[in-house]
Amino acid sequence: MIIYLISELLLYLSFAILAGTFIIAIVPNEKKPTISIHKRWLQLSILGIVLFSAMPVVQIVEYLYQGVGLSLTLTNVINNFEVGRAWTLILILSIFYYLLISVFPVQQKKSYAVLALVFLFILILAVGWASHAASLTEWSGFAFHTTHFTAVSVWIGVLFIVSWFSKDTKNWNALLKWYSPLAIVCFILTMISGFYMMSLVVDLTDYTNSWLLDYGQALLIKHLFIIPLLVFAFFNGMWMKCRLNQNPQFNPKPWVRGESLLLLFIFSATAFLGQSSPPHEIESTIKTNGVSALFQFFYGGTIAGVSQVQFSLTTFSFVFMLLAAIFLALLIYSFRKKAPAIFAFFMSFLSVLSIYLSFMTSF
Amino acid sequence: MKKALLLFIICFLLFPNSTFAHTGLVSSSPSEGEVLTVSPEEIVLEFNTKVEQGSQFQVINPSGNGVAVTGISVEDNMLYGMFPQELQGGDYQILWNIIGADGHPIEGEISFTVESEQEKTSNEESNQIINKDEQSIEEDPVVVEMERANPPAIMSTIAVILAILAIVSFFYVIRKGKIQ
Repeated sequence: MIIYLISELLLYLSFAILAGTFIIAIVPNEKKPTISIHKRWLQLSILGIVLFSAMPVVQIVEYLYQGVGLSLTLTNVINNFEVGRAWTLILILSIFYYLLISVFPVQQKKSYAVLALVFLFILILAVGWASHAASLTEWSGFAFHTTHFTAVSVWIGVLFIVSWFSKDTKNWNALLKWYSPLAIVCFILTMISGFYMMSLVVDLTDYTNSWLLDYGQALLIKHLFIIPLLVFAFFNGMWMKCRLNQNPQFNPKPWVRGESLLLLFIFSATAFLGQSSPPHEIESTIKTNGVSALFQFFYGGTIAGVSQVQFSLTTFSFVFMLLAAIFLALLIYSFRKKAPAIFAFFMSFLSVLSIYLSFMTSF
Repeated sequence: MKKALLLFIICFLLFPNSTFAHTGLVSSSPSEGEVLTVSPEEIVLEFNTKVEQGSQFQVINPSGNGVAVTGISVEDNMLYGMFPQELQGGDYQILWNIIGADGHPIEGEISFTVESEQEKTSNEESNQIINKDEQSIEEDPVVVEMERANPPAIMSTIAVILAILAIVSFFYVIRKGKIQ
């Protein structure tokens, strides 16, 4: 389970690194800090895509090989299963992509960078096929998944590259000028497509009931991390300009790094979502998969069914909500008071934990 | 922000929840909870998407052992199997585990009952009594009080730790402001 989770997380990161690199490569030099990404990182990311997108195939083979034999199962899955065929396509595309990146000056020549981005989009489509074969006839699901994946890769890819691969902080305000609108557009696209995909799986009225399942727990944790993420995005997008105008020596990098770390948590929760059974029918999913261990821990008693679990305000939920409000206030205050970014990150984490506990104690 | 919210709502109204991302069971024969008077000859499971080869199911008899099923086969979104022998009376379970078109292994179970000859005759005789019993159950449902340790004792400890962290962080930020 954990290996599938990590590989899914690394798959998202591989896409983000490639998307970020080539978008940065297109941007003129006077609108970005000095950034150098070793070719090795790009090659590793492509290898990562091949390897980590093979995990669904590995999962099926692991599930089926007993009795039939490993090699026969492997050829059968790769040739006949939708997931296997999609992966074969990913493999072929990746070989060409690897050659393109290794042989041509993709980071220096803008035309090659554009070509690399087009290639990346085709790979996103292929991964979308692999994970959405069931609903391939339902084009809306596939289209929204692709939109979600692309928007996230662009938004977070640039953020990752700027926060971890930049050599200095020159042209930072010029960077914010083009990146902020891009990030806002990507965020809105991500939100709309994410909301749509969620509505396919969870009935909105069942949102709190879905917390009984692992899927709902991961969804809740993911959504909670969006709160401090938006605060960080606001710091980095709006207040950072004023801060840099006041004090050009100020180093904005720890703050964008903090934002990218929060995104890693969101990625992890998303990876978990991809691996757990979605709650189409909460009652029957509880029957087959059991109640989430996390929920069980907080709830304490035995759970017979969804209707038994009622949402209501308790003293504990009130206390935790109050603590969450304090941590959020401290998070905002920490930027004004010029506290280090790591402190703000810590506050974000504590506020998410408090809100989560507040919800979990309100049953 | 208002525009974004509006777009959000429009999108939500435009795309009603009609599709499911993963494969699930649509119908089955015998179906969940069905009481059969004759032993079934075959099992048919229908799913909402294509299921891959290698999907299968097992049937468990009342004493907890597997029942022989022959000719398990997959055809698009259907899974078939036959019973070579007649089933004795009792409660049976079908445990299915399939691989959906998106590669996710999904499993589930269906329970059904086969009535034995004896039950059948006695049921017909005592039909009225059973009806009466059912009614009385519906009228006063048995309320089982679940014992719950809610919230777990550890919650108060966590709350105290978080409160201390909040106070420490507060003074840290205040002092930070004074130094600079």
